Amino acid sequence: MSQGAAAEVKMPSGSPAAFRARGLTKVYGAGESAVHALRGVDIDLHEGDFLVLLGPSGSGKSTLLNILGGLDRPTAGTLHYRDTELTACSDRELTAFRRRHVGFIFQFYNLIPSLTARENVALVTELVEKPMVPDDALRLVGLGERMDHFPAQLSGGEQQRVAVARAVAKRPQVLLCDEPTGALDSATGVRVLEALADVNQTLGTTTVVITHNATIAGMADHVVHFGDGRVVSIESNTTKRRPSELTW
Amino acid sequence: MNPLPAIDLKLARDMWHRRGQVLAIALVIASAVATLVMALSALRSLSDAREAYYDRQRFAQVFVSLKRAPESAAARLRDIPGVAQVETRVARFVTIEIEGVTEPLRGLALSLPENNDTALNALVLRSGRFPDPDRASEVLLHESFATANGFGPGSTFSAVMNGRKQRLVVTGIALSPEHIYVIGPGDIVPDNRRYGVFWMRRKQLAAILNYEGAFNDASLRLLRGASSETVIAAVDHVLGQYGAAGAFDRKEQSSHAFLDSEFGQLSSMASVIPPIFLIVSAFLLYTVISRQIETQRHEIGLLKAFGYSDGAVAWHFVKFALTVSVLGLVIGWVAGAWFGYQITELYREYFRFPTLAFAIAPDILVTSAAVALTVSCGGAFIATRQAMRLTPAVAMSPPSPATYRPSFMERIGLLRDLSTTGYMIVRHVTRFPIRSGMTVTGIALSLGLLIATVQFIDSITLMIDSFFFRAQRQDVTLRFVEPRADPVRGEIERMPGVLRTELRRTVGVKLTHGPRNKRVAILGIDPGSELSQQVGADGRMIDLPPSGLLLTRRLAEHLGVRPGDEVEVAVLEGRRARTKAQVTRVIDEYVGLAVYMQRAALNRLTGDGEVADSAWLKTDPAHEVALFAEVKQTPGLFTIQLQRQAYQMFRDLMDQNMMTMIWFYVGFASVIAFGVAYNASRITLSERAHELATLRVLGYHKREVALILVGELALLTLIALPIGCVLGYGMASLMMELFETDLYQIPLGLAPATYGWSALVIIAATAVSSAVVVRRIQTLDLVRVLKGRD
Ligand SMILES: Nc1ncnc2c1ncn2[C@@H]1O[C@H](COP(=O)(O)OP(=O)(O)OP(=O)(O)O)[C@@H](O)[C@H]1O
Ligand SMILES: [Mg+2]
Repeated sequence: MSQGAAAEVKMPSGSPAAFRARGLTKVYGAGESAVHALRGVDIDLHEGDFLVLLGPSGSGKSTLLNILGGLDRPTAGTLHYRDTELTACSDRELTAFRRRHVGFIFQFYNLIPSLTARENVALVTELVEKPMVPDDALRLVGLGERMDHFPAQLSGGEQQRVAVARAVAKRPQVLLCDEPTGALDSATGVRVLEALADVNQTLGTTTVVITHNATIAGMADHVVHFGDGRVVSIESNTTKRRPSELTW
Repeated sequence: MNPLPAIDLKLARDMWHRRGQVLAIALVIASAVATLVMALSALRSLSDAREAYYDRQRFAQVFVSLKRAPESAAARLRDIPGVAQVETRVARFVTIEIEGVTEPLRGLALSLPENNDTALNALVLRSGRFPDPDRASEVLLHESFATANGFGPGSTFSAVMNGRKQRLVVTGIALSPEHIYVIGPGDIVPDNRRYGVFWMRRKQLAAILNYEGAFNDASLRLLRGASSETVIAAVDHVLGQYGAAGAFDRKEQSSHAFLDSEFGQLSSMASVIPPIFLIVSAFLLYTVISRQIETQRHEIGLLKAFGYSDGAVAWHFVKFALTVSVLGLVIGWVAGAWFGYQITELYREYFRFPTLAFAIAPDILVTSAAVALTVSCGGAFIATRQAMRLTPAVAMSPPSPATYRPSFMERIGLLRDLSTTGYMIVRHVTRFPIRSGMTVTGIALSLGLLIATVQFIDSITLMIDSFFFRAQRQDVTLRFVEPRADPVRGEIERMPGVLRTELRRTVGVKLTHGPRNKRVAILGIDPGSELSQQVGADGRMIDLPPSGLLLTRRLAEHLGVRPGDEVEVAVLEGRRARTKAQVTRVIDEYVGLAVYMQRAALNRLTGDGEVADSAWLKTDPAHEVALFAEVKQTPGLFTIQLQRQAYQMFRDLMDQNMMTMIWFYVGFASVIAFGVAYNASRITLSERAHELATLRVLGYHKREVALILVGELALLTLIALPIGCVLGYGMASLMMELFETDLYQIPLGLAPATYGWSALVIIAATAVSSAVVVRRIQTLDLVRVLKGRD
């Protein structure tokens, strides 16, 4: 129904579309006090893309990410993941979609405090068919030595890396990260980003990272600028930089 | 109206947010209050009614019955120091016949006092008029028999007195303070249809019974401060030569004693059960408030930063507890009043008072309020010390992830194969041992309470069965007017349908051991009895010793005797022999305070030769009507009683009276179980909402997530079940002890099924409350939960 400023934003890429969103709208509340979090978002995401989402606070980034991940539903518009219309799925089907295809990473790590690093990872590997061994996933993020520690015994950066390991351990097709480095210092943030880039490269995981840190945009294939519930512009990097080359 | 202060607005919102928990706790408090109000108000209403009744009708303090004394002996009774008033009369147990009724009926014929307005034990006329002094056949009839048989003024019936059948006309219906609880001799429960009390003018009754100028029953009122013991001794001395069966105090008057035992039970109930409820509600308030404080540490920090004092913050939470308690209190008052009214109505059927109004005394309301508020606010206050300790700074910083470690069981190598979510459950439970312990305690207490109340059904059944299927196995009891020599057996055996005849002798005695004594009846039985079996505490049958006594446990405890000890036996009738007898064994028997002896030994003790005063029969029911007719025609046989009816009466009494009470308590215990379980699941949910949402984000289905919540409760319930069973056993024993009276002792008859059923109720309560909470998982807003760090 509604039409964003950018009519249809196609990203130059050879691979097929993983996500296809058309006219995504999200309205909270009704009447006078209604908040338009998304005002018609059209976007295509391709398999294996590494996408960074930039935009001012309150512009609707998290809302979009949550809808992509099947945590939330748009008020209007359609969203396809491959051949599945997510907007037509039941709660159960959305859960199954998350279970099979999606890994999430949040600003607050959302680890289960009563489980060790390894068990936190096992929480998702128990759910899918061909997961990584939890230990391998933890080694991937450089935590091979701390597997039996509980979250309370780990630093913030280490906790976030456990969250990354947990998100990638089931070899998801999609990795959605909402400010994964928001609570971390620069050096730790870089380690987390390196882990994400590794996964993106080795597993071909479609990755979306929300950030307020424009520097991070340097490691993306595409950078989507968001504003007031719409996609404002999209730029593609010709040369991706490695996370280790980034500092802030 | 002023707008509510912000902090009170917060209180109101918190309460609304937790309305389920608020209601659950309020209901537990309400149960405690209701029990207290119900039991105490019923007790007060009954005992006030009795006091007023006794006072108005001048209920006597000392009673005595005897063979026959000249009226002049009454003057000697009046001369006894401490005696204020003496009332003599003629009394006789008789057989009653009602047209069209073949069943044997019994009655007590009493002479009316000369002047009812000043007499002791004065009657209350309910309808009709007093009998005309000049008309021989007129009687006043007690209301219980009249109501049960549909009699009123003008009705007629017959009584066999002194071998002659008298046709009697009812002129009025009356009540007497001596017969608030109307129970026939040898009966264990009232049988209003088959036993009645009636009054005739003394002149007429004396004429029929040949008691002109004589009496066989007397009541005495004492001067204030006079010792009934001294008076009793003096009365026995004066009337000894007239065959007195020993004077006794009001305490041992059957109607009065039964009321006393009922009052005792009511007050036991009020003293055992409400405290358990109150402890549980204090627990619940403690857990809810400490959880609230934990989740609201930010807000508490803010309040403190804004300048609210520690006291003000604590007061905020205590106000929460107070509001919940007041809610519970009001519900409890209303429910207690209603239940109390119901109970009193129930008593109205068994206790014949001129007026029995259910009233709630203000002091009972005040007491219940004080107790409930103190206990629940106590729980709240302990919890708030947590909030007082929080400094604004600490409260403002977000809590770091709670520290966990492998549980003890994992460290010793158990639980190796648990799923990851299994570890979540076990570690969470062991991480908060106090909170988990409280939930376990709460569930265990409610299970215990349930077991302790439900087991009454088992125990009462055991009591009744052991009485009717062991102690008194006869079909029919025949009582003789006077003790008869043994050849009477042949006469009885020839009666229609009689299959087995066992002769019995009952003798009223006073047993004394050291400073303790008790008036009881010794039942003399012949060895090899089939209709009466005595068993010991080990459940094994006991043979009657040639000379010693068998005593029930309660009587042995009362006298402080053990097998091998000697007691003094003072016979209260006939030659009034005094001797010593050895206690051979202590037996388990639950109705009355039975004492057994071989009949021959008993006869030797009284010096009466080979006599019996009753016979227990096994009969063929097909010849019942013929047997009744034969008994009616046989002189010297006083009454016939059917055991089947006695059994039914007893069961009915227990069902109506006890069971009503028990179901109240079973209901209350279930309320507790639900309150505890619901509260525990709510707290678990709010504690773990974040984790559960995380799992949902990771792709766990609602059902799988719900399983964690349910699993934790299930684990806690599982731990609580055995503890609850042990608690239940303990509480049951305690209650049985408190409920024991001289009339009946309820044995602890906990059937295994009771544990099972009670556990099922608890499991159901847990299941229902977790289902309610699981519904909330369905509506868990993932995005919102993950956004906040709460
Ligand atoms: N549950 C909600 N109810 C009402 N409004 C909401 C809700 N959730 C989000 N919003 C509004 O929707 C808009 C977009 O929110 P969103 O969280 O997507 O922003 P964002 O771009 O992620 O911001 P930030 O960078 O600060 O995280 C905001 O204006 C926010 O206030
Ligand atoms: Mg956001």
